[in-house]
Amino acid sequence: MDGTRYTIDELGARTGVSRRNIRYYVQEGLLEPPAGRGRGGFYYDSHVERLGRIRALQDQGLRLATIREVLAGAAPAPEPGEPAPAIREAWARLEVIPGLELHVRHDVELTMGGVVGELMRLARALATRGGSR
Amino acid sequence: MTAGTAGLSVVRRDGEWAGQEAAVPLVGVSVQADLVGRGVRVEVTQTFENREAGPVEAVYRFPLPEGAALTGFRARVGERVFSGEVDERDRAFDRYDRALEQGHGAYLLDEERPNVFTLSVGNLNPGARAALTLTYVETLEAAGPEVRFTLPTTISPRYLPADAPDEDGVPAADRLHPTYADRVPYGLTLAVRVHGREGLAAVESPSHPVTCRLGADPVVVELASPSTRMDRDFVLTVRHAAAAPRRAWAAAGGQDGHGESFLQVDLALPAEPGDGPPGEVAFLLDCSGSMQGSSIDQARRALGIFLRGLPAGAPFNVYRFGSGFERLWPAARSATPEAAGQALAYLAKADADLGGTELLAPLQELCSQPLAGPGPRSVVLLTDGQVGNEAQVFDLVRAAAGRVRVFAVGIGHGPNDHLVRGLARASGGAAALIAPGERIEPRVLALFGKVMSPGVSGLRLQGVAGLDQAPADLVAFPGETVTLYGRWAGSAPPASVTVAGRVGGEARTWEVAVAAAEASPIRELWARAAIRDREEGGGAGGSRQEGRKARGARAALVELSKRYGVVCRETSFVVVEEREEADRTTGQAVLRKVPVPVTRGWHGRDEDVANSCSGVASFSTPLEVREEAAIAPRFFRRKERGVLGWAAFARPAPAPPPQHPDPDELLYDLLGAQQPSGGFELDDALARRLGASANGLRRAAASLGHPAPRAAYALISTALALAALEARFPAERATWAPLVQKSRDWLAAQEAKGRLAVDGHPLAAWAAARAQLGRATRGKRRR
Repeated sequence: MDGTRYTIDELGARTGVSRRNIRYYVQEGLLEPPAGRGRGGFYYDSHVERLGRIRALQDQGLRLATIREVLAGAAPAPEPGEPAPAIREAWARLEVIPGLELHVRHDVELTMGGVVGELMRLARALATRGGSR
Repeated sequence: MTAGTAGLSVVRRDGEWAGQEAAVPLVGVSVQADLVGRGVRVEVTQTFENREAGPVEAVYRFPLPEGAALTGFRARVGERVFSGEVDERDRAFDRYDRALEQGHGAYLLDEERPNVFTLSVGNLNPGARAALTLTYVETLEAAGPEVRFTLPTTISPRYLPADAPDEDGVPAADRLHPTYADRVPYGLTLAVRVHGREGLAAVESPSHPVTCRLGADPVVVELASPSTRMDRDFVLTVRHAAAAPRRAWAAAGGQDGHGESFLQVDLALPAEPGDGPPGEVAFLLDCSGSMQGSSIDQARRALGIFLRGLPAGAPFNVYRFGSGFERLWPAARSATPEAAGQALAYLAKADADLGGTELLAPLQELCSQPLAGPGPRSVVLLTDGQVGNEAQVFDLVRAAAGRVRVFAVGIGHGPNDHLVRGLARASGGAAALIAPGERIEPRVLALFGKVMSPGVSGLRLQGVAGLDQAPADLVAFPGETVTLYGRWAGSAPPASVTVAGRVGGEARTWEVAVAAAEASPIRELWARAAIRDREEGGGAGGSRQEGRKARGARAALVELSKRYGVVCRETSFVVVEEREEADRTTGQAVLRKVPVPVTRGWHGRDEDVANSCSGVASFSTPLEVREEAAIAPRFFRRKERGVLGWAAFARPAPAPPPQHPDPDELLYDLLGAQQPSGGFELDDALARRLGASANGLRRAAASLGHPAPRAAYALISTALALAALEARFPAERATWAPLVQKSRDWLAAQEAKGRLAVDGHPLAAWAAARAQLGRATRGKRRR
């Protein structure tokens, strides 16, 4: 591979990313492993760019889980200054009885906790009554 | 890591077990503890061995008690021992990583939370073995003469809200959660040496079968099984013959020439009954899935008794939460018999069916809702505390301190002690942790007296010039034992110190004589408390956008941590094992994350039917007998899961006669018969357990000459119930007395209206005699 070669220290100095996090990002597949064998391998400008990108997205308030999707092209990168988009929705699975569940989106659950609780009770009452017949 | 959104799946299972068995490099964990009074020094040794063909790097995530001051870390490789050093977190990693790069051995210990740590064991060559020993000291919590030692063994999967921020560029879940497996090839061995044999009354473990060698001093307690599964906290309760009311020790700062001295002051605050809650009371019950089983039953029952004891007119409300939350009323209502009845009915329906542990949302509401009166809102929280966004929760309640105080009770096989205690610290409330197999009721009810009290605030050590006190700002409660530490420049210890504080609005002082301490870790305990003051002083930390102030706070933490050799969230312990050229590792070491078992009872896993399983050593009998005994299922709720185990445990000989029912059961049944309006209503069954009967009580009521038979029966019931509490539960008086105050008042008011006599005897005298009689016919209470 052509271009400048960097040690991990040089890569850290250029990007402001700690050695700990560089190792972590490699381990998590966010950053290409260094060239060469083991921990003493070399990094290139592509690594510098990639890490710069990660830092920039972090400074916009994005979490690593989201950054992973942005980098993979699965999610659009936010415009600078734009609030971090909610890329995934979190859903809670509430078990009524084994084999029967209620799925509730996280924000709905937070704002309508009482309704959800009532639904669970009703559903459970119905389900157990149905079972005993 | 797949659970990027968190909130839902936090358990990771890395493939099938069969393929991994050979790849777990941890071979065992061994714990040696020395317990002197309230102080404990613990050595935890984790032994690793590489049985693979190539070099490995092992990473093991494990828990410690949140109050532990981690003061030492050493590696033993063959015959050589290497001592660790505290360094700034990223610098420590750099040293570790550079050493690995060059083929040396290196060992790194990071703090992720005050109760979650990560050990990295680098460049373990094929066939090599390394034993890593960490040392910590801790001042244990004391309740009267009882001291409790808790050692957590695994980390429960913790709930993280969907929007939990990354920490230093790493997802929070990746700094908290280990890899989980159903079976692991390593286990725990443990020995606790309890010193001061003369002053001990009893030693027992509600969590594990233990054996106890009573003969010598120290008394040695060991796990009965040679290699114990690490799926729950180990708990040891040590009861002393008497509580130490107050003591203080001073120690010079050691060899490093700072010219400093350190002071530790233990003070049992006198118990004084409060006049009722200073403001409204909110009950907050964790109904997340992890509370399923007997936890929720006992929690409900404890809250029910608590509710019945609320003074008339005290505003209160009931909340329950899981992934969402719900409340009984939109705003607090005054305690009337009707309101209490509604609340009891609401609690009776509460099941652990609300999913995750989203604690932040109900707390947000409780911190923002307008208060019913001038006093603070007291939140009584029952939870297993399995949340990972502790800092966010603490920030919330800290901002509301003065208006909202949290009384947190941790339940389960491995509750998050950092959350439970941190909540109490941040809000000026109190905390209690309950081990499985231990009754929830007494600990919750012990909180009752605290909720009724304004608390003791502004605790300050006086009498030493320039004293740097930690914790700097402590709120405590009558009846609690508090510990304060101090550092000062100089060497001459004072003869005594004064502890000043305020109870309600009233200033108080306590004088404590100071003794010289030999070989005591007061210096490190002071440092730990000072570190915590700075860590919990506000701000979650870890954000990239932090300002200069936060950077300054970080630097101060690092300085404190390095100077006193006590690890904090900004520092790590690191050891480098320099190797000869021939011994250096060549090639890339393979990463092996050590899998850990999921906490027992988590989301109904291995639901415990044998809750009462425990090992007990009582010093009232001279000899112990080991026997095999079937453990009777006390809470057999889930027949389909029920596995009735056999367990070996040591118990005093001769075997005590079976107690039917458990005497504590009677206490809680009796307290449960108190009417929200005051007074007791004894039904025939309960009356019979007191050695009377409903008919007998009716006859006695008739002889009162009261115009209304119902009211007369209530008078008789109440007098008998109160007398029975006095006669049978004198040791638990502090627990039940505040709860039944309203019934005493009610009875006194009735007696003031006219002399009440049963068959010519004054009512109180009749009841006392009746209660004694009932006690005699039912045999004596234990202890």
